[in-house]
Amino acid sequence: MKLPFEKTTQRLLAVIALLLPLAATPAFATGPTCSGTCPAAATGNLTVTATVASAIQFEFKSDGSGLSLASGNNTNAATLGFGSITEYGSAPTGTTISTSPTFCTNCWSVSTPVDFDVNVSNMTSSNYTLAGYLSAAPVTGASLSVNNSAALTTSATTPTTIDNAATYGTATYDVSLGLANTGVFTSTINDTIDFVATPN
Amino acid sequence: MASFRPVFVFGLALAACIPAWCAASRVRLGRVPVRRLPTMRVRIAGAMSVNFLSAADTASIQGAQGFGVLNLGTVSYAGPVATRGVHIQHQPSGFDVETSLVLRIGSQAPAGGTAMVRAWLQNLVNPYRIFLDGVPLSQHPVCVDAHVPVGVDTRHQLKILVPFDTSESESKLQTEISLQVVSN
Repeated sequence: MKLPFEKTTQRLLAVIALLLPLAATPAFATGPTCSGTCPAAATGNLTVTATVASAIQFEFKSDGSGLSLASGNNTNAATLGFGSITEYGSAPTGTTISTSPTFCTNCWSVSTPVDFDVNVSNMTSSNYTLAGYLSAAPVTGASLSVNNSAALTTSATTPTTIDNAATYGTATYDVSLGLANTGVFTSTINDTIDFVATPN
Repeated sequence: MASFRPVFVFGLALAACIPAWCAASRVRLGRVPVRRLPTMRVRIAGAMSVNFLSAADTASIQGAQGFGVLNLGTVSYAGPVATRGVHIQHQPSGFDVETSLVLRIGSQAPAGGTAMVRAWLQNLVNPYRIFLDGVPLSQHPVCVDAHVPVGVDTRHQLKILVPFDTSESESKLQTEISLQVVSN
């Protein structure tokens, strides 16, 4: 009776015997070759890393039915000039005069629509809160409001909420300047509204 | 009891193969000098290499020959980017992170030749889209430039499109771009 080892050895030798003539052929001896000249080649690997930070963008745009921004259209720092206004005169084109605004008492106001374009990037947020405050106290008798919000103050820590669920994209807001009926304004009224858009 | 049958079979096979083997390789036994068959027909046109380099106005690439690491830093739609040579381009669907990289294809062959550059990604990095010289990259090799000069520095533009809806969990981008250069 043959041992299993012998059987294995026998089969192995048989395989070798079959392969030996094949090994003698030139093709097997040299391996795969190119015909003619093989092109030289090389590889390289470049690892690229980056960290994407979320961002929110705020731009002012002139509204078609309002005053054109004096400067800074399509940027986040724009200038709006109402020009010369009077309560009982004709309102400049693109403005509206109200004799009973809600954000001030015993006052009248001039308003114009301005487009706010707010977009968020790389952040999960369905809407945002829009708030505003003044960089300096306005002259006596003057006040500023956006969309008939409460009159804006100079508190940067607690800015006045203008819209607590503003939709991303372009939206129109009325910027209003309120003037006391008894006020005497001998110089140009000049102030800056700082807007804050906070993603919700 | 051991059998000599396998040894006998192997011996027979070997005896049958030796003449064919010798004839094929042109080896003559005896006193005749050995003459090898000229089987090595491969002629390599000079070894090539790929080097990633930095320039004064490009982002810094760390690494050695054949390998490079490019860190674009922190990028956002709002920009600007602190990393030298990295720029943001606003797009309707997001923003592009753009930078140039310098590539030098080395070769031992005489200068003046060109090489074809193919590129692909080792791993997909959704939702980002990566372009090299304007060619979108995927996991399948694509020809980026069919005739890149060999032996000189060449500039290439890397662009990564970051969609607006890239979430916070996807904010870390890491991918590996593989290049293969083949002499023309």
